[in-house]
Amino acid sequence: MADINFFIDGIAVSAKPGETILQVADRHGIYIPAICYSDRFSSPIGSCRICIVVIEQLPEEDLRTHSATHHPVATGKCSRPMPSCVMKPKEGTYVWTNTEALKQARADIVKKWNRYHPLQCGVCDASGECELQDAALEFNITEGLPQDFDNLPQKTIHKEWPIVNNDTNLCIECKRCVKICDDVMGVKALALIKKESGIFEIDTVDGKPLDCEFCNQCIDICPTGSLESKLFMYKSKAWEMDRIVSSCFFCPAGCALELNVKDNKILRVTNHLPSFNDGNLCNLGAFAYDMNEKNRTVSASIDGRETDVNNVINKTYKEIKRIINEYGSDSIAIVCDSSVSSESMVSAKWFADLVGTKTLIIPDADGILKLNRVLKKSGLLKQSSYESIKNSDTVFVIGTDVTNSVPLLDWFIIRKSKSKAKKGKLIMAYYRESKLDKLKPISLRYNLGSERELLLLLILKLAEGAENTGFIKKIPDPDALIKITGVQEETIEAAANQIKSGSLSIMIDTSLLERAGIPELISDLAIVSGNRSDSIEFWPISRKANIKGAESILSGADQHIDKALFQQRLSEGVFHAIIYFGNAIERILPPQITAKITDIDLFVMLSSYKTDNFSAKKTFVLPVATGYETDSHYLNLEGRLITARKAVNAENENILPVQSVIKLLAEKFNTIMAPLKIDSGPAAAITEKLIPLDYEYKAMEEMGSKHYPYKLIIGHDRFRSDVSTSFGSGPKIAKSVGYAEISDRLAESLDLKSNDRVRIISKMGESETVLSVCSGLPDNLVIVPEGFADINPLTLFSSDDGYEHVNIEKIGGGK
Amino acid sequence: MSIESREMLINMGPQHPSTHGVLRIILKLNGEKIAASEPDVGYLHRGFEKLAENMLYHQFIPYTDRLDYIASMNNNQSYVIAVEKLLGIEAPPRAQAIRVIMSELGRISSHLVWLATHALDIGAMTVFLYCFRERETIIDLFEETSGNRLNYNYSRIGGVAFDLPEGFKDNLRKFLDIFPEKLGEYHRLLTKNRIWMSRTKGVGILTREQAINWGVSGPVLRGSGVKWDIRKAFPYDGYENYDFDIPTDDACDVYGRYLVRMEEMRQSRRILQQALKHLPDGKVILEDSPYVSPSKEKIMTENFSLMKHMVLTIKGMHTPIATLYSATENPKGELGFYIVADGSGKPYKLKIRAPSFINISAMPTMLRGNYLADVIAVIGSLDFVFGESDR
Amino acid sequence: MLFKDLRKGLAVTIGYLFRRPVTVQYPTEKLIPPERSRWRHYLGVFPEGKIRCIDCGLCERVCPPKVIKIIPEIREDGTKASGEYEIDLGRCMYCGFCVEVCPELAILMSSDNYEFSEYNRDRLIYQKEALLQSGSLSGGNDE
Repeated sequence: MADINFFIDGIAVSAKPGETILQVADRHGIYIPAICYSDRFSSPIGSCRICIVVIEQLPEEDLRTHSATHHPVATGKCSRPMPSCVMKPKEGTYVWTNTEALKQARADIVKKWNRYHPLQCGVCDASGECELQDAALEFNITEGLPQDFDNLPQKTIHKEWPIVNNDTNLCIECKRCVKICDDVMGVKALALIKKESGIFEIDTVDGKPLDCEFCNQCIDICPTGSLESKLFMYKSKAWEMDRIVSSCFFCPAGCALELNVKDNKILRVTNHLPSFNDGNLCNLGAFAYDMNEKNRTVSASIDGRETDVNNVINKTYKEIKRIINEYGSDSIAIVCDSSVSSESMVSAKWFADLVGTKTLIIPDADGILKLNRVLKKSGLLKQSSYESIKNSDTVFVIGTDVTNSVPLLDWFIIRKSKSKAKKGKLIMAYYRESKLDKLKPISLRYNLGSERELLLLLILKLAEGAENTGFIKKIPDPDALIKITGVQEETIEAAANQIKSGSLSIMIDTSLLERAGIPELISDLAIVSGNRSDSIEFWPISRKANIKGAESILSGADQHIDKALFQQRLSEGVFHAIIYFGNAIERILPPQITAKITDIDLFVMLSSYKTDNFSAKKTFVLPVATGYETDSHYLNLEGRLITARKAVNAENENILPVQSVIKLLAEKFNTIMAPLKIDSGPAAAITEKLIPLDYEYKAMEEMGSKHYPYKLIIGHDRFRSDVSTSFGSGPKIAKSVGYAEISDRLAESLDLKSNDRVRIISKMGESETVLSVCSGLPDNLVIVPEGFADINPLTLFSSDDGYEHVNIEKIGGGK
Repeated sequence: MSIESREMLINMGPQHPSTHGVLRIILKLNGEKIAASEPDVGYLHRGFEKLAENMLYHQFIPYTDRLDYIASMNNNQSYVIAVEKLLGIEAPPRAQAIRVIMSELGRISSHLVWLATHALDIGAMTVFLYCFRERETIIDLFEETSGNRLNYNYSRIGGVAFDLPEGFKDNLRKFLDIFPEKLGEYHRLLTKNRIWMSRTKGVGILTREQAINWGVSGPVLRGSGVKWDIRKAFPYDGYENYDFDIPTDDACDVYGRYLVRMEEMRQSRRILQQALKHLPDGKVILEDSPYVSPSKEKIMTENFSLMKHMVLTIKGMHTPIATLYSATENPKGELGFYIVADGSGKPYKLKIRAPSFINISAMPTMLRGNYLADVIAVIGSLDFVFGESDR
Repeated sequence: MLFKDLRKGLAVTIGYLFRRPVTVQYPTEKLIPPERSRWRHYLGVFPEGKIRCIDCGLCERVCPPKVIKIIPEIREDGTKASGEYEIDLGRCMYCGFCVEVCPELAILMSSDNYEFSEYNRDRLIYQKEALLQSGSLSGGNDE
C-alpha cells in the first residue's frame, strides 16, 4: 500500500498505511493536544475528545491548483470535529488542528471536568505533574462550571484499597487506567462502572477492594491525582525531588526506572523514559525501594559483636593467611549469590584468583552454564535481544510462568497478542494454571517431573519423516511417554506444527536446565524444528537478577564447580574457610550443604541485609552498600549491561561498595594481580551446520513414600525476589505471607481451607506457613514461593530433582 | 637644577566616600594632572544574569529592583516591558499610565540623589539635605503604593501588582505643586555659583563624536549635544501621548550635564501632571491571559483559576522560542534586556545592558588632561550606580 | 563683584534657619508605615485557631532566595498541614511574593512590625511557633 499524502495546518505530510492523523502529526513535529492517548497502548481509547481536528475536503479541481502552503485557514467544506487519534487520513485532504471553534470546543470539554473536583490543588500530590492543571493553562481556562464548595456533590473515595488511593472526585474519566491494566498488563482489574446514582466511577470490576499485581502502571499513567500511591502520599511535592535514572535489579529483565530522591531518601519510583520496558514496572521495581532502609547490616561484626570494619578486615586477612599456610589455597571456597551485582561477582573472582583457590561457586548459575556448554557444541549459541521476541512466530515457554519470574516477558507476550502486525502464537508448557492462559495458548499441562518425556514427544513429532533421528537412543513407545506426561496427542501435534511454522523463542526455567539431559533435549528440539540458528533464541528464565553476569564471569573461569561437587568436597573436609557474597546463604544452598558450613573454621559474609541468622564457628560480617547506594552493574537477559545508579548515601561510612571492601582486604596480601579474563559473550555469526546432541533416555524413579505422599515445589512470586525484598513496604502490603498453595480437591480430602496454618514436613525437617487453596493445580502438589522472610522452603529439600517429597498437616484454626 | 619627576600610579580605591559605590580607579598622575586612568569595576558583582537562568520570569522582578537601586521603579518597568514584548502582550492602559507615573517619579528621585551626592562631593553640603527632603516625599508615595521604600517589586508581567491607593493622587498633586519652588532653590544655590561653575565648567569634556563612539546614553549623551531619548525614539507604555521636551547641551562638560539633568526634572514634572490629569480607569493587570495568574479572589474560589495559578508558579508560562532586545530610558541611561527564551518558564539567557557600565567606560577619555580634583566632579556627572554596573 | 550669586544662595539657607525642621526624631517619634508595607512575616490562622497553611508549597517554590522550608505533616483527619515552617528572615528579600501566591492567605506580612533586629544571625531564623506570634509587635524569636 502506498503512502497517503495530505496536509496538516497547511504543511504537506505523508502517512504510512495504518497510521492515524495524530501519529502522523507527531512524527512531523506538529502538536495536537491529546489527553487519553498514550504510546504505551496498542490502540487509542478515544474518550477525551481533546485531539479533535476538522478535515477539509476540497473539490477535485481546486486540489490541483492549491500549493502546499497556500491557504492558512479553512475555506472549503469542513467536517465536524473528529478525534485525530482514531481517524485515518484520506489522500489530498486538509486537516486543521487549531481553528477558533476547535479551541473553544477543547476548552468546553475541559471545563466540564471539574464538576466534582474540590478546591484542593494545594494539597494534592499530583500538583506540578497534573495534566488537568496543564490543560487549564494551555487552553487558558479561568472559570469552569460554577461550583458551590460548601455543598459539593461527593463521589467515592476508595481509602480501603491497598497501596492505590482512588479519589474519584478528581477523575476526568479518560480511562487510561482501565486501558493500561487491560491492554498492557493483561489483568483488567479496573473499569468505569455506572453506579446506582447514575454517575460513572472508576472501580474494580467486581466491586471488592483492589487485589491485583500492584504494578504502579495505573498510578503512573493517571493524568490527575485521582489514582495516587498511598506509600508516597503527602511525602513531597513533585518538583522538589531529584530524578535519578537507574535500573531495577530484582529480576534479570533490567527495566529502566527513575528514582525520585529528596533529602537522601528515596520517596518513589517513576518511569517516563524511552526504554524497552516502555514505562512499565512490576510491583518490586515500583514499590520495593524503601527496603533500602530496613533490616540493614550497618556495622561489621565478629561472632555477633559489633566492631570496626578495619578490625574485621585485619582479622580476616590473618585467618585466611593462617588457613592457606596450614591447609593450602584450595581450602578457601568463594560462594556468590547470583542476584548480586557484577561488581560483587568480579570481586569474588578476583579474590579467588588472589588467594589461588580453585573453588568459586555461584549457585543457580549451573543451569545457564550447562545450557551454554550444550549450545556451544550444537552451534546454537548466540546473543539474544528483546526485539526478536516481538518478531518471533512462536514463543515456547516451558517449566515457568514468566509472569512470576520475569514480568517483562509477560508484557511482551501480551503485547504480541494485541498487535495487529504480528500475532505469533504462544505454547505454554507448565504444570499449573497461569495468567497467560487468558491468551488461549497451546497448553501442554504436563505432570511435574515429566519434562524430559514431554520434550522427547515433541522431538519425535517434529522429526516425523526426517531421516536422522538416531541421536536419541532407547526411546520408549510414544504411548508410554504420553501416559507419563499426561498430555494429549492432539495437543502435542498442534504444538509441533506451531514450532515448525517459523522463528522460535524458547523460554525455559533455569532450575529445569540443571536436570540431566534437559539442555541437550531443548537444543535438539530447536534443531529439529528446521530453523536456522539466527531464528532461534533461548531465554533462560530465573528470578535471580544477575544470572547472565554469573555466566560471563564463570564461562572464562577454571574455578567453577557445581553444587554436587561442592557438597562432596565439603563433606570431605576440604574447605576451611568460606567467603560469601550475598544476604542469606540458606536461601541458595540446600540444608545438607549449609549444615556442614556451620562446622567450618571461618565464615566471612559480605552482605547488606540482616536476614536469617546463619552462623558458623567463626562468623565475620562486613556491611556492603546496596544497589541504591553505589553505582552497580548487572547483565540482563539479553546480556546487555544495565547500570543501577547511586541515589542516596549510605547510612554511615562503614558501609562501603563491595569492590572497596575486597580492595582493602586484598591490599593486605601485597600482591600484584594479573588482569581478569572474562568471557566476552557469544559471537554474532550464524552457524551453518547445527549438530544435534546424543541423548540416552533413562526413566526417572519416583521415590515417594506413604510418609511423604505429596511433592513440594519452590515457586516464584512476582511480589518477592531476593529475601531482602520482603522488607519493602510495597511488596509487604501486596502480599504479606508466603502461602503454601494446594488444589481444592487436595484441600477437601485433607479437610483444610484457605488461611489455615499448616506444617509442611519432609525428611529434612519441617516448616510452618499459611495455606491458600487454588484451582488449576495438580492434586499432589504443594507450592511454596521463595523470597518470603517468614518461610524458607529450601530448608526442606534433600536433593536437586526440583521437587521434594513432603507431608502436610494442619496446626491451628484459620484467621 | 631640575628635579626629575615621574608619573605616579595611585589607586583610588574601592573604599572611598566619593566614588558613589565601590569603584576602583587606577590613576596615572603626572603631578596633579591625570595622564591616564583605568576604572576597575566588579566589586558588587552578584551574578544576576546567571541567577536569572534558574528563575521563572516573574521571580526575577525583585532582582531588577536591586540593579539600579536608586530608581527601582524604572528597572522593574524596563524588565517587564521586555518580557511583555517577548510574549506579545500589552498591559492595560491604566497600568501603562501608572507605570509612567512611577517611572517619572523615579527619574526625579534618581536625579535628586545625583544632585545631592554630586554637590556633596564637590563641597556643597547643604544641597544634599534639601534634595533628600524632597526625595522622602517621593519615597513616601512609593511606600504607599508598593509597600517598600527602596525595593518596590511593583511592576508585573501584564501590568502592575496593585492599584493606586486612596489619597495617592492628592499626595502626588501636593508634591507636584511644591516641586518647582524647590527646584528653583537648587538652581539658586548652584547654577550661577562661581565656585560651582569654576569646578565644573570645562571639566570632563566628552565631545559629540566621542560620546557616540563610546556608546554612552542618557544625560551623558544629551550633555554632549546629541538629542536622543528612547522615550521619543521608540516610545513604550504610552509615552507618545505625553508632551515633553528633551533637554540637550552643547558644552560637553560637567556643567552641561548638570544643566541637562536639572531640566529633565522639570520635564518629568510636566509628564507627571499630564499623566495625573489623563489617568484612565480600568484594570491594572491583564486577566484571562495565559501568562498572568488570576486574581486572589478567583484563586480562592475557582478550580481552574487555582490550577492555572499553580502551573504558572510551579512550571512557569509557555513562552515563544525567540530572542529579544528591549530598552527603556532610565535616569542613568539606556537600560536594555536581552532575553533568549527557549519556550520554558525560565529564560535560557538574560543579558542586562547596564547604562552605568557603558558610561564608566567613557571615563578615561573624559579624565585625560584634567586634575585629580576633577575626578570627583566627573564621577558625579556620570552618575553611575554599581548595583547596575556590576550586576 | 558683590558676590550676588553667593548672596542668593545664602538667602536660601538662612531662610531655612527659621523654618520648622522636617526631621522625625526616631525613636521617640515614629511614623506609621502605610498598610501595604511589607515587613515581618506571620502565619495566618482560622478564627477557631487552626493554622491556615496546607503546605501547597507555592511560597517555597516562588521565593527567589529560597528561604522558606516546609515539612508537611498529616493531621488526624487525614488532611495535610505544615509540620515545620521555617523562614530565614535574615536572608529574606521582603519582596512579598510568598503573600501574593498563597491561595489560603496563610502567610502574611505585617505592615508595622519592622523592629526585630537581633545580635545573632541564627536568631533571625523563625520557626512555626515564632511565626504564629510574630504578627503582634511584641512577638519574637524566643529560642
